Amino acid sequence: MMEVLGMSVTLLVTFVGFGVLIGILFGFFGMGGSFLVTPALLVMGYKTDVAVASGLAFVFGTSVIATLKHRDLGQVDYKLGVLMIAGTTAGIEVGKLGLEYLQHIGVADTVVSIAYVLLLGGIGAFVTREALKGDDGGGIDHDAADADVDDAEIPEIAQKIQSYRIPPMMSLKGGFKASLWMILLVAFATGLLSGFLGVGGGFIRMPALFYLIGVPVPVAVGTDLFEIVFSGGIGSFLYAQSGAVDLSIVLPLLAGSAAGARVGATATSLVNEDDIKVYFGVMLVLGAVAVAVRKIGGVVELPVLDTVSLLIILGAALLVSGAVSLSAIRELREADRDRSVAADV
Amino acid sequence: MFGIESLGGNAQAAVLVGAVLVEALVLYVGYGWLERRFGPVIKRVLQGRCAVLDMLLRRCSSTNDGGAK
Repeated sequence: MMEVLGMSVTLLVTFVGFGVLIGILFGFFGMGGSFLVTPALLVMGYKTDVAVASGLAFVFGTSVIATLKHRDLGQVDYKLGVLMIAGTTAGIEVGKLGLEYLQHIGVADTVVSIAYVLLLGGIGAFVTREALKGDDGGGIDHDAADADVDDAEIPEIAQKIQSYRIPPMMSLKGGFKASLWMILLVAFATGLLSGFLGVGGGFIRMPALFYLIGVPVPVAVGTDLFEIVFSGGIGSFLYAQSGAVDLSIVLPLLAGSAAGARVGATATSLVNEDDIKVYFGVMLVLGAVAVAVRKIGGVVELPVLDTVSLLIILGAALLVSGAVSLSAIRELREADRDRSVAADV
Repeated sequence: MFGIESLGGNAQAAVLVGAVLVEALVLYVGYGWLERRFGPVIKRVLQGRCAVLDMLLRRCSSTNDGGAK
């Protein structure tokens, strides 16, 4: 059989297709890379260090592309991104200390597994419930990045956090101000969880930016991706020092995800904010189920549950990225129809 | 396979991360060009203003309804 980059054409096409799928989710939600790629590579038989390192390098490359696309759409707040990086880095270090302590007393695996599943499922359920509660069937928020946000659109907790006017106050995209200290505190808290769980943390940061700081969803996604460029880059570099990054995995995945990330990022400016939250929540809840199944498989030593877990996560990814794409096409058609009606009047 | 196995730890890491970054930038520019070149036509297909067959036969311009049903 013909080989390219030392792998069969079938495998190459599979990687490119898988990349497209992850790219859509990554560009749309600002999360999902390590969540999807690493378990898939493990099930495909790659060694753990290669799966983790190549997954990280892939996340780095995809985040570069998705961030550039979000920048084109005016959906990246660099100032907020830099503050988030500073706060998150400090939080990760403290979170790692907590993890080391748990490892020392021998309960790390159990506590982290349970906390991870509860957090994924909890955030997913919360975001979905809030989005369904607030769904007024309203129009598309295409200009969320540029327009001043109405107070009613800012979640209550974020309004409370914005009300603490401890100087210096920072002006953020969306036309509102928040205290530098409150931003650093939120960043520190998300970093703490991320370091404690040993995960990238996109699924914690994106909702934190929206629900705690009040950043419009498309900007939350773009800014989260900007942060992942740095965390992914540093993580890849550290793993690459031991030669664990396999370019024959990363390059085809990236070729696919580069196209998907453009679609996903564009979709954030088309799809209704509440719909984005519903898709995000559903993805997290299904992700929590998949992680729980994998962990149970590890405890009862039933490797087939690893495959079941991967199938759940792949099914969820396929379902959600399909729903995102269809939703974007529907909004595109509606906007076109509205323009035609307006032109006729 | 890519001839970088012989490099030392930091150099190898820099080349690997650099290769991913370069590929990402090349893909961003390349797909960006494709989007600018074919985006308007694909958008018309997605809006239902032009049939896929017409797009493939290059009968779907951005100035007329080229085969719209």
